[in-house]
Amino acid sequence: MKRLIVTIIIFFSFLFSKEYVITKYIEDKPIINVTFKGPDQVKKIVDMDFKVLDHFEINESAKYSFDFNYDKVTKTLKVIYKKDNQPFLIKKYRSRSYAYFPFLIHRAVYDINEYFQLPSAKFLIRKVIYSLLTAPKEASIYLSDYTLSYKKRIISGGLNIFPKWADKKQTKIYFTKYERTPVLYEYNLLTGKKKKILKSVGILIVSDVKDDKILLTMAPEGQPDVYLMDFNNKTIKRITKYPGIDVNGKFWEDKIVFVSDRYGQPYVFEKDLKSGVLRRVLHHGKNQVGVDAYNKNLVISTRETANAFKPNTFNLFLINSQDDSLKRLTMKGQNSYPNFSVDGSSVMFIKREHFSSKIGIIRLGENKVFYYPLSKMLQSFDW
Amino acid sequence: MKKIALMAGIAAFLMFAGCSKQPNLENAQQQQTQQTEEVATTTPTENETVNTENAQVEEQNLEATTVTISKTQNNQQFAKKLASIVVYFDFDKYNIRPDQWPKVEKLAELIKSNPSNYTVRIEGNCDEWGTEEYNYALGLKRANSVKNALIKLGVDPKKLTVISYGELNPVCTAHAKWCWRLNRRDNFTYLP
Repeated sequence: MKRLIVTIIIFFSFLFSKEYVITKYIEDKPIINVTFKGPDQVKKIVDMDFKVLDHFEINESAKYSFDFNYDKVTKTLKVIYKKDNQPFLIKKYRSRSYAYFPFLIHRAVYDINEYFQLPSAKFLIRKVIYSLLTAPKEASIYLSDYTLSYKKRIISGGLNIFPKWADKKQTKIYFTKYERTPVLYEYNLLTGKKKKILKSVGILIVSDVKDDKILLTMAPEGQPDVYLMDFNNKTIKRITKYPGIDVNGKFWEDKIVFVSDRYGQPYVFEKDLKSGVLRRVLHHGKNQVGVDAYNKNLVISTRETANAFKPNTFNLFLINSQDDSLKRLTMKGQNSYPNFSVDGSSVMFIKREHFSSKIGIIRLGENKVFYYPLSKMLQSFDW
Repeated sequence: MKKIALMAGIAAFLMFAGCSKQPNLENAQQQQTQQTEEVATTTPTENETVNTENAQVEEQNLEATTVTISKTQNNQQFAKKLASIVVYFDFDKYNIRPDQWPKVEKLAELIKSNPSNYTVRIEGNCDEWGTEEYNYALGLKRANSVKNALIKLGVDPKKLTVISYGELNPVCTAHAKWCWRLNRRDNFTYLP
């Protein structure tokens, strides 16, 4: 019955929608004025933050004003909060290097958003970690802000892929390094220490992290399956046992979702960890190759055409399990690797264009998408 | 004088031993012979002392070097032969195509013909279509397909290991079908 409902919804959504339709949740945006003194490079980030956030209406005659002052010598950002032109709060943000200024701006804009008690804007202050292909079999891992303006290479030499944040504070990452076999490492960004976790034949990827548990895709016997690793009791449990492809496990409430080719083509399935019941999640598209989960929502990358090489090859869809709704998030191109932000307000994804890439950010509540281009091929990211 | 005679003797021995035992290493032996001859002609004649122990050691070293070069070259040739075989796959598939089977059979014969201690790493690769984990698993299944076929053809499983590079090891970066075809492949790497 549920399948039928989803199919009908999909049918009607294609009949009537040319764009994705998401209700805006901020009806009356606060009207504020923003002024800036400092380098143009810094101003660009201020403008970008307010544009991407889209929680405010900017107007010069607004009651509230926020004066941004950035001093390149002291590497300090000062934000003066004013009401009716009277300062009532001053916030200062300082960094050791000039290059770090995007994070100061993001933090300042985040604080203004918090001051007005608006929906979460945590995506602004999250650090992004990504792997970039620099040559065949050569990929380095970089640290960045969400606009990819700040860039610091933290892991290099050989093939370093699938970086994943290991903790909520973003101090440690997991990543896979290709040695004689793939090896999983934990790297501490504060101390620079690298710790070997485990190795596996063929493939070894951290797909999802939840507290002290991680979902892995690995193939100790050469067979790719989803595994659950619990750091508390130091156990590894095999979750899927189909002799085809099972990958990309994500925690989803009491279940996990993953991609499997058990029906001949890759589709997204959910598995109840207690009962073991397995169910296909979405009946749409020629196949479904990627998935991410947040609360009741799933975002799935789907190949929509039988011709693999048509322009609208991979698109992203948002599913809400509560009301069984389905929303199209992208229209054309090769869109993949969708990843919810920590607050669920945005989806970050990779848009491939030949052998270069863009990181795309879909602001779900604001009905907008922003792109940040990279000259090389982006392998994967986490934020 | 004794030293010159000894060195010449070593050179002659090496020439003879090299020619009879290593017919495939003509260039390497020629170089060694020339070096030995040069040493013989430039050795000062006034130094009359001879240390036979050292001479013996030197002879052993040269002999050992000859064997190492021979082994290395054989391994290199074997590695080249392995690398020259590439098995291609269809889009989103990991079964071996009928037209690719002769290559797998050739590969099996090649590995079986070399009984020494080594590993062949079967590297599964994909085209640029997809950055998801699925693409890496697809590469792994491609590697496993050939691995299983090789085992059926009598190759020792202990000699085989698999890895997936997903889309991260392209041989071609043009945005065209002919290029994507070249990237959907298995490579074979010699690991000593």
